[in-house]
Parts: sequence; C-alpha cells; structure tokens
Amino acid sequence: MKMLHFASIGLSCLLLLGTFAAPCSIRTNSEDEVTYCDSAIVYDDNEYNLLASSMQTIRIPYISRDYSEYDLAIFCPTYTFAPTAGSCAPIAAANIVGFYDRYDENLIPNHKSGNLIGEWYSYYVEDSAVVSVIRELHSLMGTTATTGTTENQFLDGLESFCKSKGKKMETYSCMSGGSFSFSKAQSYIKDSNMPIALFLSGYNVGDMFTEDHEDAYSYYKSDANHVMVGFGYSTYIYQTSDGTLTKNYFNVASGISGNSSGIYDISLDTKINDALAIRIY
Amino acid sequence: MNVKRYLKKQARNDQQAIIEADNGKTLRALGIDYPAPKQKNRRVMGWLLGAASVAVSSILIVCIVMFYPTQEPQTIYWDMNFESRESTLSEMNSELHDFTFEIDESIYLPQIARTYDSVSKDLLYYTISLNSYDSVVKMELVAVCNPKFEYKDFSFQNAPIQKSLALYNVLYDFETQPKQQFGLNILTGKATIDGKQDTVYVRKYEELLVQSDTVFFDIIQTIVKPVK
Repeated sequence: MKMLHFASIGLSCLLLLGTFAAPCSIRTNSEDEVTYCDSAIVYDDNEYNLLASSMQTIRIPYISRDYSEYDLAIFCPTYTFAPTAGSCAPIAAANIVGFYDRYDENLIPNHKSGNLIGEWYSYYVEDSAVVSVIRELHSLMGTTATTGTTENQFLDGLESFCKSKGKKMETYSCMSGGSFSFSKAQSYIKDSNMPIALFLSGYNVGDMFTEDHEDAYSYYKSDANHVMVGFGYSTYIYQTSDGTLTKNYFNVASGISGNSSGIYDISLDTKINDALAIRIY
Repeated sequence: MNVKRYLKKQARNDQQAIIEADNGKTLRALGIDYPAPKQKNRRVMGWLLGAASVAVSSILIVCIVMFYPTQEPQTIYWDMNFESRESTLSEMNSELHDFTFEIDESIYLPQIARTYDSVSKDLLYYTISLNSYDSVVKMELVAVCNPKFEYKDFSFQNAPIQKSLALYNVLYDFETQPKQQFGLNILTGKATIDGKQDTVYVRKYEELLVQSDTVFFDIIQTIVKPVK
C-alpha cells in the first residue's frame, strides 16, 4: 500500500513536470529555426520592414596595405524585386538562378543573362522575366510577409524550382565545426565557380573608399535576419600602428533596393548562421 | 486671591486653546454654549484663491501670447513609418517640382519606388535604379521632393567637387578602382543636384571605364532635366 502511495506521488510529479516541459521543447525548436524576413522596398503590397537600419562609416588608417579580391563576374546579378515584405530569401535564390542562367538560358525563360566584356562575363539587369522567377520562388518557398522564409524552405523551394527546369541542385557547406570558414567559401567561389548563399542574423553592405593611408567603409547596416549571395570576396591586410589587421569581405548581391551590390564585412555586427555554396547543373 | 485669578486666567487660556483647535466643536459637544464660527475665514480663503487663480491665468496668457507658434510646425518623420511601393516615371515626374526624369527604356531598365510616411501620408522621396542593358553603367538615385523632409542616408566620403554643367551644377565625388582580375577600371562615386525644392542624390554610380573619361556628366543630363 505504501509502495502504491509513493508510485502515485511519483507519477503525479512526472505529469506535472511534463506539463511545463512540453512548451519549452517547442520553443527551443522554433528558436533553432531562424526565419529570414528582410526586404527594404516592397513592390506588390504595402507591408514594410520595421527592423532598424542605418548608414554608417568606419575608417581604417594604415601604414601599408595588401589587397586581394576575386569576383565571379564583372557585374553579377543584383535583383531586388520583392513581391511582399520579408522576401530576401526568394530574391537571393533568384540571384543564384540568374548566375546559372548564363550556362542554361532556360532557367530564366525570355531573359538574356548577360554578355562577355573581353574574356569576362557581365550580367544584365533584372527584367520582367526575372520578376516572374522571383514570384515563382516566393511561392515555392512559401514565403510570407510575416514569417519570411526558413533555410529549409529556401533549399526546398530552390530545389523544386531547379527540378521544374530539369536541373539538379547541390549544396556545399562553408561551415567548419559549427563556425563559418572564410577559406572554404573562398575556395568554393574561386576554384569551383559557385556563389555562396549567406544566412545571416544582422548584416551590413557598403562600399570601400580609399584615401591616402586610410580606407573608409561606408555601409548600410541592419539587425534583420537576412539571406544574400556572395559572388566574390576581398581581403585587406593592413599594417597599422597597432599591428596587423585583416579584414575579410564578401562581394555581395544584397537584394536590398538602393544598396543592391557592395561588400559585406563578415566581422561587423553580424552572425553567419549558415553559408552554402550552391551548384545548379 | 491671586491663586483664584491665576486659575481663572488659566481656564480662559485653556478654553481659547480648545476653541482655536476646533472652532468650539468640543465645547458645543459638552453642552457649553459657544456660537458657530463666522464665515470670515472662508471668505478670506476665497479671496486668496481667486487672486491666485487670476495670477496663474495671467501667467498662462502671457506665455501663450509669447510662445504661440506663428509658423507651421516642422514635420518629424520617423524611419519606422516609411513605406515604399512601386511607382512609374509619370507619377514621379508629376510630383517633382524642379526636375523631370527622361529615361530611354531601350538603353536603361528603370525601377522606380515611391516612399512616403505612413502616418501623415506625406510623400518623402523616389528611388530610381537604372542599369544600362550593355552593363556599362549602373546607378541608384534618390529624388527628394518634400522640402520638410531631410534625407539622411547620404554623405560624401571626401570633399565633393562642384562642376557646372549646361543644365545645372553638380557636386560629385568619384573614384576609379582598378579591377586587376578583369584588367579594367570601374568608376564609382556619388553626386548631388540641388533644385529650389527638390534634391537629386546619386547614391551610387558605377561605370565600366571603356573610355579614359567618364560619361557620367553626359548621362545624368540626358536623364535628369530641369523643369522649364
């Protein structure tokens, strides 16, 4: 009888614990799944992104400087059409599709991807055919103005799009041990000719201005969760009065109207949640 | 005798103290005859209150007269209330005061957005993205046509140079960046054109330098024209 009493108390305690534990586990799951929902200009509705953004400048005085960069094209795709608020993910996917449209013009029907300038390629701009593709990707990803797009939705949507065009898609992680590896990303861009999808919490995009022994990085900064595409990279190694300073940047298509292209400082008020090199073939 | 006098005096003092404490309420409660206090104190209080009210009112009236805004108040627009939507060339031109945009769509693919304040519904500015089909020129412009709105997302990195063009003056700051990988130079920079009420900001200009000199000044005058 005593044993039965203890058993009933134990069971009650377990039930009570379960009552509190269930919502906790649900909250943890939803926290793991970041939704990317940034966009600056919306063309189809009047939804608006309320997240803070601003223009800022960082100046880096130096004694000497080494500089290297690599780009996949002279001008890369920099599409920005947003069907609703929170459309950064389908726009980023469209920029990747636009890149591969050079190799198969059927990816974006009725669209000329670009032209050769000398031996290097330069992409054409967003037109109505590109807008149709962004709308299609928006639908395939299930993007909404309020919830944006998760990384899984992004990948599933882009893969569905590729399949519908008779293409395959492969992804290669630029993460190493849970952290972002810039050298991996550099290798995928330069050696494998692949753009990088960047899944970010907080980001910046701007331009570098050079002056006499001083670089000025003037950038647009946002706290939003954002997806954009790295089509190249640049590394600056400064010798300053305080020692050596290395700054790594992606050359990006941001998807943000008014700041559609520029460089992205990977160490400035930003967190790279994931980075995937993407091949469509 | 002295003791009696002292006791009487003491009794009067005590009675006075009780009266002053509660206006004779206690004495009346004890059955001792004492008349209710007159309304003199209340009247005095009323006069004092009236005088104070008049003084405060006077100060308020003087303040209102001195500080009442005679001009229309400057509108404060908060970034969080900005909304943008797609627009057209004709809509933009109808709302600009000093400039008109002429875009040859066989050369450039324009994207135009109208940004306004969602609270006041005031128009703030237009954003114009222009890309040449030959990929040689890319530019992003902002036309601010609300004189009460201060556009803050623009600054020159270096002191700008002023150049007088045939149609207007332009302030610009350009830089040529060698692209060793491609064996060519890209000109990047910013510029502004001021009108009486409108200002056109060239937020970003990029040009593949096919020739040695920029074509910006020719291009900008074919696109942005002063209203006649």
